[in-house]
Amino acid sequence: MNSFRCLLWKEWRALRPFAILAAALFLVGLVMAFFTEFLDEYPIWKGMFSDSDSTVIIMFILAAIVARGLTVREKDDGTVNFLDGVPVSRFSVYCVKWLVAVGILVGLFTLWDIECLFYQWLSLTSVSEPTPWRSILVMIGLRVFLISYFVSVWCAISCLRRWDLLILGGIMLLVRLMIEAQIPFADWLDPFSLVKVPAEQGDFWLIPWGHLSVLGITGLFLWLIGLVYFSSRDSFLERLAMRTKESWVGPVAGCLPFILAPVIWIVFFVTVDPGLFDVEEDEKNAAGVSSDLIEMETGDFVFVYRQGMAKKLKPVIKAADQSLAQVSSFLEVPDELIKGRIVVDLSSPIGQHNAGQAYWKKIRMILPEKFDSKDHIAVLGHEITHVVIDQITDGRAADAFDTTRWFHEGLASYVEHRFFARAKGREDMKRWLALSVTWGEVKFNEMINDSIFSAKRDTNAVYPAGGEWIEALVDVYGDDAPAKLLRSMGREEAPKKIRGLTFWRDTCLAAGFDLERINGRFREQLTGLERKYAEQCTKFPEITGAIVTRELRKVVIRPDLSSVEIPEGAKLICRVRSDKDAAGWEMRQVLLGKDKAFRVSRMAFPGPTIDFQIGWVPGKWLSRPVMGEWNDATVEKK
Amino acid sequence: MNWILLKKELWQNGLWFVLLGVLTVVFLGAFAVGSNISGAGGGTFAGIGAGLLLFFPIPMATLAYMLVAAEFRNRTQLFLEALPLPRWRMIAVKWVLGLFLAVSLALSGIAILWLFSIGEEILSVRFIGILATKAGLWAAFVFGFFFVMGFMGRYRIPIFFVLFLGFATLGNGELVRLGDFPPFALMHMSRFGFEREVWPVNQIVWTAAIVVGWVAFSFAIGLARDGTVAAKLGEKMSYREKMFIGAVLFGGLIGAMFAMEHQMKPEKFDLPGGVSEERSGVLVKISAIDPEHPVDEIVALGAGLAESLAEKRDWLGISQQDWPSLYVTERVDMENEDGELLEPGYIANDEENSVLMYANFRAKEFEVKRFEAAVIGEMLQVYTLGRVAREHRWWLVCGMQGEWELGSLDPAEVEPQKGDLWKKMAHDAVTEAGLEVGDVLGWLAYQEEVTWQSADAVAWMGMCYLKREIGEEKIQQLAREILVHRVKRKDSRAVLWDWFHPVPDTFEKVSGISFADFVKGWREYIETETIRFPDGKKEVIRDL
Repeated sequence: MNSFRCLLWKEWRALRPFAILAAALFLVGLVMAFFTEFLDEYPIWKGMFSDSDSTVIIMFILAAIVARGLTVREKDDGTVNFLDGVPVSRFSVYCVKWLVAVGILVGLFTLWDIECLFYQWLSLTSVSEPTPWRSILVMIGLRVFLISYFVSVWCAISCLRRWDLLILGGIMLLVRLMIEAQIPFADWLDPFSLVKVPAEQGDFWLIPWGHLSVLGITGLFLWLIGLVYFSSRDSFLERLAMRTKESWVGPVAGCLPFILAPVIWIVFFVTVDPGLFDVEEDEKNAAGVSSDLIEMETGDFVFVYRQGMAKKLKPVIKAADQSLAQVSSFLEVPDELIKGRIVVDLSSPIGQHNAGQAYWKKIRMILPEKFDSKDHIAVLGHEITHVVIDQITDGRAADAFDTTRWFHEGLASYVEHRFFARAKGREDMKRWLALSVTWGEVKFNEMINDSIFSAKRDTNAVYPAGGEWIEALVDVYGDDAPAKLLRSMGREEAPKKIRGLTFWRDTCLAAGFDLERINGRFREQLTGLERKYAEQCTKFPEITGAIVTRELRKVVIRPDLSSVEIPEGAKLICRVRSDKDAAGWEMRQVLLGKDKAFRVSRMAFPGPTIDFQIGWVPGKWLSRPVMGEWNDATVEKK
Repeated sequence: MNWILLKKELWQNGLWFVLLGVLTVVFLGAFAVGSNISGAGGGTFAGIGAGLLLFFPIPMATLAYMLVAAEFRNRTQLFLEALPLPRWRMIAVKWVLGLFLAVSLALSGIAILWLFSIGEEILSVRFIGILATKAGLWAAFVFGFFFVMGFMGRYRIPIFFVLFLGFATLGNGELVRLGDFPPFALMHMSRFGFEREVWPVNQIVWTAAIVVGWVAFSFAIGLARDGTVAAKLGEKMSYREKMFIGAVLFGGLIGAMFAMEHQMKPEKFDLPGGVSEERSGVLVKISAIDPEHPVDEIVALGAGLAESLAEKRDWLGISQQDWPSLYVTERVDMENEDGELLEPGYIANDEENSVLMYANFRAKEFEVKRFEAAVIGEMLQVYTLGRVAREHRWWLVCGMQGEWELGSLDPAEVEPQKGDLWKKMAHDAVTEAGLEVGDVLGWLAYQEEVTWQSADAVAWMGMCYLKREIGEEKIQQLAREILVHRVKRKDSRAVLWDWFHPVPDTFEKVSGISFADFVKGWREYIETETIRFPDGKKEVIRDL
């Protein structure tokens, strides 16, 4: 016991500089909080719970600082041989090292938690919600788990020495790829998504037992790897490295990159000819790169499509230059602004439920069967607008995409429906908007923070709502107002990082516009639409209540339809996501079953909670789905 | 001799070069595939840009470590120095070898994707040329940076730390958009894989210049005093040194963060096209939804508001330059949830000394006095950065607002219909919910319990009682002591001020009445000043 205590003391002495630095970090935090916050207006939900993602990253970095050299340094410096002279096993030494590292980090985070609790106590008012003790305990528990996990990770991986970052980066990338490929339960391998704070302070925080189990097992496995490495007298990797270095393999291997790299260069330069810096020549060279792909050039565009699309595409190609001219004229784009041709790629897949996507000077679009050439031209017009917005603002609108997405989509929709689409399409947008407004789904202050808007509402509602706002802008300040606003957005002297309402106030003021007047007109228009379509809208009430259960391999959502009559031709649909941060491609959309329930695969949503939003496809009156607000629900066992 | 040096590097690190190369190319490929997996990436080359920007520095740090830092750390440079060779040649061989590997790895990533993209994308030579140039130069820049850092020995980690946090601070600041400057502009994530025709000449030239700078710097430091500077730097740091450097870094960073704060400010708030009126240093600007609306009416409204606000400002003892400007936007559609024709707006910039109000000022039911009272409440909030709304002093603001709305602190002087209604609301509230010291200091809960309208009535009655007891002059002094404490910056000095100036103590000091006695008297005043409406009658029977 005495030797164990000695080891503890030794490790503490070794990590004391870090502990002092950590204490300094804590003190700096205290000073920063004092100088940047009203401490009595800093409740725990704003402090301890507000930025859990960043906290996990900080935890990971601090664990790296503490644990990366924990076992390796003893071996590299040869001090492990001294330890061998002490009557304790290497197992004990390893355990003590691990415990002290975890202890110091837990201590640091506990100090932060105590600080947050102190602020919480200061911030209590007569109307404050009670302190969420259960959530605090869950948070502390998950943090202690993650600290232990990260220290184990670094103990295990540090034996790779200078390769550790590379290998760890690679593993993290693979986990990310697995998650993106929607491999079931892959996100349980991701420690960074373990802490998912409930949306509201009063919400019950379900402990993610499944996620904890998987990470717990991998953590234990990594802890054992660290132990095996530390306990081994002579590292296998080191021996292997030494042996290969001393044999002929080393220099031969070293020569390989020299052989491979010129091959790559030769392949590269073989295809290069003097036309490299000559656009005309270059385009000639490009043609016919693949026999499957066909390229068609116009004055301003290069269309890429596969064989068989030619007939369908002909009118689109014919109208393309004219479409760009129309958009450019409306948005007052100088001729020299768009350098080179815009690529329209019709040969590649695009995101779910999209007809087109724009990237800088490239457009990807598809030609859905139910669309005719007029519709395709409208989609092209929409995407051209996105390209033009990015060029005029020099990418600033894209940089602040969370703040500008509604404007990007709104302006593109406005241009599409004003210049290219059929009147019916425009009418559909108005009906869509009317129903959304009736449900209270359109709020300007939410639209300008897309992450908030998409977490609460139908993310697609920004198309009609943004379009309507542009209509209000044009109505108040005239046809050239969108162009002025874009120029103001892209002005060089604009503050770089402002977001949300500050961004829009700044942009409008620099353009000489009163944002409040535009918003006033926008609200008037929304009210007008609500009144105009009131009769139809009452037939489609918003549905938010549902019971969610787990049945066999399905998650079943039974909406409360007691006071709802489904009009003839209308359908109810439901969109499901794992949580508010889920990407669009992670969501599932299902129709109401005959038993008046929505069913999604449990494999796709294994967590204890899900988010759902229920919407209508009104049918004849409106063929687009209109979704209500997102609701989060605990999945009960049936 | 060069070949001998090269052979030595290959012998020493050859196996690791291969491992590094394979892992780098595989991970770059994974980035490219991963970014396009959902079909939303926009193309094969979009992802590799992200890979080169975010991942590529890791293998380059490893490569530079193997070539330079490890040599000094393990003191193996002493063997090299024993060779009959000029020192510059050793550095040059390491530079050329590393640079070649770095550029080859970046280009091999592009080349492999190129092969994958055949039949998927238009692969013009110009496009590939632009991509390869950008990727190659970026690789050279990143390798050069880590190569130089290899010579910085024990200071390289603190330098990484400073640069990382420095760039993060810079990136979050208002001053610059890092993505606009080379070499980062070359790797702009939303453009890297999509720019097909325009050569970023400026950025290419500048990045190449930076790379040349790295070369020069690494030679300078590697050759200085026959390499002893680099050797000294390569020694391990003592704990004392680590602590000193750590402390200096923290101090420097915090200083930088404060220095960077708000260097570029957004446009000053305004309502373009609105009608502005200024009286005694108070600016009121009103924007009508309909520009055709008669301007005279708005001018009259603005002038009246400005005069009245100036009067209230002087009564509160607030200086002219500290008093916020008022901006009013017309909202004809409004009646908010409480049936009000006015609502405070949100300017979204704490530095603006202005108040934005929405008002349906053309509505028949719109009351200017009520609007003014609400405006002054908002102005006090701007003046104190919201501290005046802390519940232990908000009751006083509500009471003052009652006076400003009704025009007097003497119930007998108030228009009977309105005054009686307020008295009845106050009476009902006190009868049902009582009124204790805890209710006054926890005013938000009291408002919730009795509704804010009734709580306002109770507060106004409290002011009426106070006027009777201590006179108007003392009330003015009380308002100045409790409400008028300028807060210009969001920090906790205001919290400390609150701690050292508790409202009950200030109250007692100014009025000479203990706070508990005041609340008791206030409650009794409400109970005796008014009685209930007799059922069915719409008048108040007064007992005084």
